[in-house]
Amino acid sequence: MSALLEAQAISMVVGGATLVDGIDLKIDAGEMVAIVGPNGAGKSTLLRMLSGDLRPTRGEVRLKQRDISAYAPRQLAFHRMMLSQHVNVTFPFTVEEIVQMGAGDAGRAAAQPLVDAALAEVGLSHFSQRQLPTLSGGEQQRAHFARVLVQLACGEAMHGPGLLMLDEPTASLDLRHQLDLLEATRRRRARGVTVVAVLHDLNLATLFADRIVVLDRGRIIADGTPPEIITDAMLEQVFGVTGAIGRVPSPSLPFVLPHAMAYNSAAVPDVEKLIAEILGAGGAAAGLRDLAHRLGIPAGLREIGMPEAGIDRAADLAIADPYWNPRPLKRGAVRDLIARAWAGEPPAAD
Amino acid sequence: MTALSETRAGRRAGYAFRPPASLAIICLLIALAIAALIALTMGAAGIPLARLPAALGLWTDATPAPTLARDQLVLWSIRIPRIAAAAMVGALLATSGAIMQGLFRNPLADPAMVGVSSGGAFAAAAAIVITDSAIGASLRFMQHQLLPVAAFAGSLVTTIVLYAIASRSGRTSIAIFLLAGIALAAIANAGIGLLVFVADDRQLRDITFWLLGSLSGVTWPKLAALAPVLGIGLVACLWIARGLDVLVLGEAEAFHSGVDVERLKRISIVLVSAMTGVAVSVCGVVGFVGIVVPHLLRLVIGPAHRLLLPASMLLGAVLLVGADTLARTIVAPAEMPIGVLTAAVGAPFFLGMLLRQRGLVSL
Repeated sequence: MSALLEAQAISMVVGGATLVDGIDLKIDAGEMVAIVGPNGAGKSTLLRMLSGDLRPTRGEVRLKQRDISAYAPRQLAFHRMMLSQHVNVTFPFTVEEIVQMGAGDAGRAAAQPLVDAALAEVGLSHFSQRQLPTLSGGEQQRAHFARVLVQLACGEAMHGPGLLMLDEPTASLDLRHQLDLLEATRRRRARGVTVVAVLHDLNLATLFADRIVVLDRGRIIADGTPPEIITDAMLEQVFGVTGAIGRVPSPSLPFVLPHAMAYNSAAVPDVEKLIAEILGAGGAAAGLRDLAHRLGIPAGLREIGMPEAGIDRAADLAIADPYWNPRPLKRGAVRDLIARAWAGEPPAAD
Repeated sequence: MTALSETRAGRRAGYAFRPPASLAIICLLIALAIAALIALTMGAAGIPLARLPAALGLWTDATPAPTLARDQLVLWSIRIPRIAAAAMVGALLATSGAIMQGLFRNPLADPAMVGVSSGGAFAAAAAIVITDSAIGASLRFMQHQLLPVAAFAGSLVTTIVLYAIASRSGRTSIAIFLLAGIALAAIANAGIGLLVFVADDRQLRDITFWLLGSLSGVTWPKLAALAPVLGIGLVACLWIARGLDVLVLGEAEAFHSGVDVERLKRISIVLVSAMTGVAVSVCGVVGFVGIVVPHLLRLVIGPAHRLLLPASMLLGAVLLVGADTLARTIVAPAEMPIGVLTAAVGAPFFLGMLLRQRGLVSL
């Protein structure tokens, strides 16, 4: 059986930076997939490409064996429903009006039962006549989720169970509503809906998904069931933390309690090569961030010549000044700086 | 007791009461009829309400024949075309403001404020100067027809440039949008200044005549350009209304909801440019109608465009008929430029809006 959604070697390159690097991914009908990974791993970019919103610079996304860019937007909306991370409504639409937008150009009367049901499901029936911008962030998020549920129901009526894509759907929700949303997605899944969600919370991903895809720097580095994925090695490699991994008794699922940064001594890089990269490539800020990441040190560089120049160990922050100009820096100065940082010494005073 | 009523009042805040669409439209139609009636009777040559039916030819009465003839002349060749033009220009400006606000998801957008009107005015002024010079002499016979087309083209170019500058990967920055609009308006105004500088006396009179924003030169042929644009605009508005509603969620989310965002943007830009351009070609730059009218309406009937756009047409018409009546009566027998009047009322209103939203809008 061929996959419902299939990405073939898709890449996204924006201004020389590769956000997503040649990803192959197959998602079968009825699966519940969570995409996890550190900040800036390319999760949202990947999801936007899978949803047909962003066109990959290379590769192709196929939905139901058809190139996703070949669908007209209206047609596509009946097959896949996507909830973006930040939806900011400027005009005083009511909650009900926003949720109705999920019904497309179906008549208002025809959509009303669906709208009412979705509002009840997210627990916003009593707010249906409130203006959306006056609600809290979490309530707005739930209203948008209700809107997507209405879209899902409309699509299901026409083409069968759809593909639901969620970008950080629980980001601004309290614990109870996180579980509520999880339950709502599970109920859809039981009816045959396929779900793909970008999630930050590993524990939620474990509860939520039967398959977790781990993304790091634009590449898939692990893909499997939650027990296969949630391991000490993955935590250390991808997130740079160590944590206690426990188990919920029934059903036996792993959970994570991160408690420390990992100082990954095995990953001491070729400093000479890194310096060459930083000084040569012009992308100083990105290079520095990468350096700090690879070294696994909670420190970074500040602009040379400033009074507080050097590495601010006390702040425990990796700082890469985007306006930092590497040219006046001597190769030796950088090497010295890194060596001192590594040894935990304060920088030499200029 | 007090505490209870206080919490009730608190809860009520943020709730929306929306009157039925038909009621809103009927109220606005009645308001337009009243405004038109008042406008018909007032002016340099007063025509009392009692003489109006006879002058309009509805029925005959005891009005002496010479008076009747004079009334009819004033009404049919001066006042009625002027009122019709005021109503149509108001409708066009208010609706293009509402569409622009929907397109940019920004209640502060207004074609006059962000240079779209100025762009149209510059192109129209250029058309006047060129058709009046030796080079464009062959086109002089169709100056009337050329003016709206030129204004439309000028507005279109300005809107497209504005959109290209302010939008980046599907997001529109309000700050860049407003600043770019100011810069574009400045460029257009510099161009107009240059044209005024090179124009001869006769051209200068033509240019300044409508740069001030006045409806005093309106004749029946000029209305011919307004009416079709208004008609097409009304139909197109109803067509794009749902798309503009969904666009409030942002371009990406609107696309996910099944809106062809690129097409919607193209239609909206052409529509705004055509409506603004034609309005500008008739009476010059009249500001703030496009910002005041949709804002007031959103407070009462809500932001849904299916009702907001037609209602903006009606309230814009009411407002401009009223403003024009005021413009030609308060300093009678002289006349106040209507652009001055709308700015005098609209600018403080706009500032008030800014103050109210200071905490909500992040530039």
